[in-house]
Amino acid sequence: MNLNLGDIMETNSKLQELFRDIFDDDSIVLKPETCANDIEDWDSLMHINLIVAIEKEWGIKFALGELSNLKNVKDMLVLIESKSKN
Amino acid sequence: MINNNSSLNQLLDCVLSISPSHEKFLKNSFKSRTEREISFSKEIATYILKLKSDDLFNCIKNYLWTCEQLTTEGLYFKRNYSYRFTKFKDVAEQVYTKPDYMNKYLDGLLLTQVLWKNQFDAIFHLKNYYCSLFHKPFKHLEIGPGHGLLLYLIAENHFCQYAEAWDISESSLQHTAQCLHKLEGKADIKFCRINAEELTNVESNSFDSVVISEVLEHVENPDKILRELSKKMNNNAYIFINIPINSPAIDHIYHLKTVEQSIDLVESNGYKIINKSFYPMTGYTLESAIKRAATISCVIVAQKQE
Repeated sequence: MNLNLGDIMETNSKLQELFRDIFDDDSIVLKPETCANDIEDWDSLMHINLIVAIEKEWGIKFALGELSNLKNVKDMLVLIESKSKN
Repeated sequence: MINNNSSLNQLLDCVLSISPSHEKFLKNSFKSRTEREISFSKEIATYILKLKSDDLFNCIKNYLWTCEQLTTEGLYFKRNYSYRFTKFKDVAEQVYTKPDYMNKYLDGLLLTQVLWKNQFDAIFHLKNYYCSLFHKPFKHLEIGPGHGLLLYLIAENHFCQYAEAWDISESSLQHTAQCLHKLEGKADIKFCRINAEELTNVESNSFDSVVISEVLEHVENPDKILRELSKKMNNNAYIFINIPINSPAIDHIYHLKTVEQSIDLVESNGYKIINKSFYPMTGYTLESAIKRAATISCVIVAQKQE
């Protein structure tokens, strides 16, 4: 899939705001490799909270099988971009 | 994580060898346990190893499978802020009539008793607070005894002279009986197949102690059960109630949303609360669990009102 750099940056910016809101932490700065190990409160319930917040923000829906593949921010960005364009 | 050769260490090592990604969760679950709690965690782990000595590997696989099922339900819950089912017959079709599913699920629930902070806190409360309320011989009843650990702990109490276990399912009762046999409990326990939702016409003993732990969320009308149960209790008898709020699972049909609702459920059905404790799920404070609508185990000890 061809990803537009501008779109990715905009999505990353929105995703960062969403992370800050969910984790109640304005110091969070997302990098593509950011994963659960980098954010102390990122556990399985928070992962679900994130997923549902992303679904609402972008008007998309993830399939169950896709959730376990979302290991880091890059995976999220790619899937969000892909689903928003479909 | 636990620095010795205890059963707990053995159990944790085994979980992590199968699922290394569980480490963060387990560290969260154990980091704040006191010395006494760690000691009791080891005791629970010893019971679990006794129960599952012949098949610990599969038991842990089943626990991890249960976690996956609960994640699925968690996603449904967060999307809809409701449990998937509200009718007992729907859950019976999906879960209770499927022995393979039930066996895996029961293994999963057994391990949560020590691995999940809120589950552990509830059984610790039963052992350290509830069991200490009895200073003379008492008759005990547990509804839905499941893996039997709570029943075992109470039946082993020096003052417990008699115990009964009631469940809607014959196979569940057999499962509990097998577990208690493996734990080599000394107490003689009577097992009765009784539907807790149809207690009105049940002739029974009158009890001094009742435990109903993680049962009320599985029924359509918990008010009716609590009211009917009080009729089976002697005056001033104690009841230990554990009901979780915001706890999505495929077989949970009665959705309590706040701790206040759990208090109201007990008080409005003929009981005087003498102790209430609210235990948030692993990794959460009570405040953050309330804010995030995360699971909280509401453990309420009450007395029948005269």
